[in-house]
Amino acid sequence: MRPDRVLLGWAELRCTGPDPVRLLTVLSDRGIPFWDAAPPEDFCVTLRAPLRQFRRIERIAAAEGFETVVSAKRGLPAVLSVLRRRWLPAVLLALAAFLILWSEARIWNIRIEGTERVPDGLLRQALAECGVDIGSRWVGMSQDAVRNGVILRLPDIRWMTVTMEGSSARVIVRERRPRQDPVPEREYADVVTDRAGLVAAVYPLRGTAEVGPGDAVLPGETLIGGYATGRFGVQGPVRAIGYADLRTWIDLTAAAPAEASEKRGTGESRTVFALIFGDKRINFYKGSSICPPGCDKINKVRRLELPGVFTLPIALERTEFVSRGLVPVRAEERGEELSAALLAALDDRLGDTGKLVAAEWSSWEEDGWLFVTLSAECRERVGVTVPLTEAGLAAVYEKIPKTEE
Amino acid sequence: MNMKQSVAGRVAARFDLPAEAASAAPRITISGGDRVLVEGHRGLLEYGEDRIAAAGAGGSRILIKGDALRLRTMRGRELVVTGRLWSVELE
Repeated sequence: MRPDRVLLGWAELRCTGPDPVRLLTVLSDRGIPFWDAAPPEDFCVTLRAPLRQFRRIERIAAAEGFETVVSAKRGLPAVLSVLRRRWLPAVLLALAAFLILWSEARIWNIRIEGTERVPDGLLRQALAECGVDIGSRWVGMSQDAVRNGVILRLPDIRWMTVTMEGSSARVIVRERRPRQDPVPEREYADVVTDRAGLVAAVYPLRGTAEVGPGDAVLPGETLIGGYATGRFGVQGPVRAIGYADLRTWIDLTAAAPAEASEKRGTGESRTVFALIFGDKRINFYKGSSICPPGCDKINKVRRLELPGVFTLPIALERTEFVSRGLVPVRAEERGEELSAALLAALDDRLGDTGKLVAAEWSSWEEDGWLFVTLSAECRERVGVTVPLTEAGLAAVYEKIPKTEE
Repeated sequence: MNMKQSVAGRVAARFDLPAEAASAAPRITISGGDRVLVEGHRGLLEYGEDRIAAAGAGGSRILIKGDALRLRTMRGRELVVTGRLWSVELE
């Protein structure tokens, strides 16, 4: 549809009379524009014409013996006419548009991504000190100033960026990580084990393997020596690179009182609501929102937003106070909790490079305490780079075969 | 009227002008096989889905035949017809 027709509005007319084709010619002769005239049927023709020509068409059609009916009115004037009759939706529409325009330049929601060690609360506080806070204007905000300010306040952050999505600030953070290998790249070094176990396989990528499959090793023992060997023996010191797979046996024990009580939900709860407008709130309840003793408080905030497009400064907060009481815990449940804690501790120790091969469990009670022991056989990948000491380096040079001159 | 048109036609021919510039001869423009623009017609005579006829100057008749024909716009001496065109005849 042409924009001028939408702006000026148009009407769909149905004219019924003796000779519809003649009516079309008459309208055309009188200079009245019309379009999309359908082929006449049963002495009736439908056509579309500008809204402002409607009365004129009606008069001409009446003079030709036609009866004119408006089937529909479209375009901006028709919409405005409907809005004049129904003012409440119009006011709400205008209010929503105003709120969107007003709130677009402000931050109503802050989403943080990429934090592992730095608490979100600390980061939000640092952001607020740098001007990124709920209700603050983001127009004219300097990315560099915010980044530098936050990094100065929180040294554990290596890099960050703030991007605006409507009125939502998306903060992406990269934290500083400790160096994996403190040994300089050019320094001669051995690869040693930090665990005790039985060697399953050694993978020397550079240097010379000093242990083989089946050998038992203790923490600190050298797996790959920092020297290269060739056809004629030791050639010289190198920086050893590689790792070894060890079979390790780990015993972990956990203890807890055999008879204990635990806080659990009693089934009673109370829910209250509050409306948050910007940084102000309207409570729909009496009294305080401080959690009474023996209760847990669970907050859920729902924002009025279209994610990625706009966020209005209006949110509904639902707070649930859940009553909790002391409930005795059975010994079996206690044992299961301890087992789960032991497995979590083992998983933490093995990390990404180790795996559990077999596990044996034992439990017993003693002096009112419940003990659970996990005896695990694991397979771990080990290899820590340790620089060669002066003595070690001298020992390597000692091994190099002397040539007689 | 006929004489006036005839004189205008002769003048146009003498000066090598387009005929429609000097006379009331209708001009028909076909675009892409689905749209016809008729300028200088003298009124609509027939309107159906398979044929539309308009009067031309000097009692001539412009007949458009096709399928799903539609009078897209009509204003003054101009009309635009769209649809699947089979033929445009000048009788």
